[in-house]
Amino acid sequence: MRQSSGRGRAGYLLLEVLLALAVLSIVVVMIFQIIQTTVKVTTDIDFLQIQQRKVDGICELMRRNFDSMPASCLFETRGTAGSTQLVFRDAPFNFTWAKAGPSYGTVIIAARPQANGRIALSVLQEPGDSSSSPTLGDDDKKALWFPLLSNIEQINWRFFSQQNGKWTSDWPNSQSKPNLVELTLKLAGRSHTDRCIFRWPIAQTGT
Amino acid sequence: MIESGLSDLITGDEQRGIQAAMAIAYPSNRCPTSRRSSGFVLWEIMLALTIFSIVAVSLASALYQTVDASIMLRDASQVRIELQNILAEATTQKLKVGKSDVQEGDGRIAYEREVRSVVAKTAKGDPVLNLYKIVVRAYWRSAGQDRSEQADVIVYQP
Repeated sequence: MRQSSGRGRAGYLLLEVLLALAVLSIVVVMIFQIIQTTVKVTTDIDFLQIQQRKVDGICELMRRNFDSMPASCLFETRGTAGSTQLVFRDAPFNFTWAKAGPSYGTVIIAARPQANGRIALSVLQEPGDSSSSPTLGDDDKKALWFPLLSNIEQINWRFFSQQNGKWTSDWPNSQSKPNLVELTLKLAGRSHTDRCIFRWPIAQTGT
Repeated sequence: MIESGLSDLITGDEQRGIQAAMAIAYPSNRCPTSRRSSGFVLWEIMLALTIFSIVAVSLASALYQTVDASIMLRDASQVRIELQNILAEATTQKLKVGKSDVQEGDGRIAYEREVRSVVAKTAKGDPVLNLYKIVVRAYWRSAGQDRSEQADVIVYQP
């Protein structure tokens, strides 16, 4: 490498420089790939953790909603455009974060289509008692829907009655309440479906 | 250069002594007295490879630990939701004292439900019957370790 020439000048041969550059390139590419993979995996993990937090959050929110429903609340489901709407009448506004104080009325939880073709689990809260809101969920109330969870690919509700021991996909009878409510949803980018079961406290269902 | 510069000032024995000392100081083929082209010696290459290996293994290990931590968090979250689901379902079933296995999810996590009778008394000392404690346990393996989680609730079922 430091071989002197006849004129007394020392230096590297072209072959040595090329070899060193090749080795350096291989090492740099390997390190770059490792760093790139690390960053990609970390990003993916962050995304999945955010998705998990969303699922945890919506499950906890819905669980508290059912836990805090008073015995006087009326519940029924409505099927509109292939999706199920959960209608709570004379119910507290559990999804209000405004500082206006507690209020009650009709609360509708439904899956509404998004612009990108996916679904958003949304809530609509209308003040007043059950007799004063005959036009619930109309299209002219689009702006009043508040999205709770967006980018859902699939969502499904089921309701369990302890009296007949069966799960049903709807609950048209507002005179009684289901003992259990099951929410199954699949978020976009998530490989599996999440399932949450909410218990409607026995003392409030009257069963 | 030492040879040519000092050859007329020192004797032959002294030259041989200096050459021997240089050979000890420069044991490899990088000895300046040698006319052969010098290069990296084996221990230099091995040192470089060792440093690179340590860096590569450290990065791979960090990546592996990140993935493990993510799987652990996902499992813990899934277990928490499933335990609440099983407890909710158990409250609507006719309870029998004893243990039973519960099938949930993909089977990677084993769930066990135990129903115990709770002995309680009122303020007057009268026994309160039909109180049950439902304990649900989950067992799974994550990041090379056995893990478990449990949740319980007391229900009144006349």
